[in-house]
Amino acid sequence: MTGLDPRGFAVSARLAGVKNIIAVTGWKGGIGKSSVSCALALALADTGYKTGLLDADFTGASCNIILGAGKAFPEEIEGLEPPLVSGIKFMSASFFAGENAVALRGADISNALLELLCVTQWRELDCLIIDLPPGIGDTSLELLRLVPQSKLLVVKTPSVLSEETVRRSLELFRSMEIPVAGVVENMVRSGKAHKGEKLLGAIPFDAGYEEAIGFPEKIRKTALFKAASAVARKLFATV
Amino acid sequence: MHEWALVDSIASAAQEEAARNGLKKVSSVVIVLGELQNIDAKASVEIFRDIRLLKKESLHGAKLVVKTEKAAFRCRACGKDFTMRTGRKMNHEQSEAVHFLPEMAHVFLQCPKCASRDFEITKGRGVYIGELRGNK
Repeated sequence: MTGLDPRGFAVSARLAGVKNIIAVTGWKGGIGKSSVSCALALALADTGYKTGLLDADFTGASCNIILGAGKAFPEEIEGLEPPLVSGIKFMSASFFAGENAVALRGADISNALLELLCVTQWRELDCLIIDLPPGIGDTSLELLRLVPQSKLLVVKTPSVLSEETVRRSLELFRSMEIPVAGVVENMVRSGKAHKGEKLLGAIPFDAGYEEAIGFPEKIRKTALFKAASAVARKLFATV
Repeated sequence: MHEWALVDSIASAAQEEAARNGLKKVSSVVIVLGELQNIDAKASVEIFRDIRLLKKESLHGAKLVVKTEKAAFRCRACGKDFTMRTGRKMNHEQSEAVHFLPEMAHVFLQCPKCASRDFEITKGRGVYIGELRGNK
């Protein structure tokens, strides 16, 4: 026997205390997956749930910016203990990349995800939100392989393009027997969400949200956060 | 410390691999530590001594034997092979980041010939089990 990678053998132990894992996905970039992930995590933490957030978008990490994580850094205790950011246990490659851009190919992305899943000590959580990059690529496929108990939350926008890709992705998830917790429509301008399969709610386009980025206390006052809180309640009832 | 989680994964992998191969007693687990991640070998051996007792009995008497492997890289853009000595040097903070997440090498290292960050880590990335010794 040669060359056995041991890291995968620890993933289930690291997540043993996590009751629910919600992976936030969507087939298009710029549709607000990270904002929805952060708002959901804040809403769940505010409700009293022990909540974690893993930013798994290695090449486009932004949850640290949205939450204003600043100089937060994991502590070394039997691995890496995620720092508490606005009541959320938060882990991101941005802690290590700092202000630098990250360019990674498929195998490196898989390795980075496996490393973080192996060394991060989430301990007891009611819910772990995982923010995924757009589409079903290396990160998403690797996550679903390593953490098959993940349930997907699909973000879409009121656009024919988004609608069509979500319809196709839901078919794909069904064919792969991947559980979908629900769909959220983001950036809704009409005040009325389109109807759709597994729709948990609509999040209005919020012109004031940009100003709130980096300040969780301001995010909590946005229409986005209020709508995300309602989605979080439905989501928890679903899972 | 950070090494604990990796050594724990080594012990878990070793006990499962031992069971798969019908080993009743594991005498030693030979691991290979890559130069890039720079895992503390001495600390790993000490951590393993405690962790093995939390695992299945087959592992209780096992020793952790550490070998090391130099890191090697191949540029995907120009094909240049380089090492930690021939590539750009990292400062302490950058080395720490790579210690926690070796893929950060793509942030802090560059091909010495064409400056690309698109390179393959061909050897010496992190940790793997090289050999499991024991009795059936």
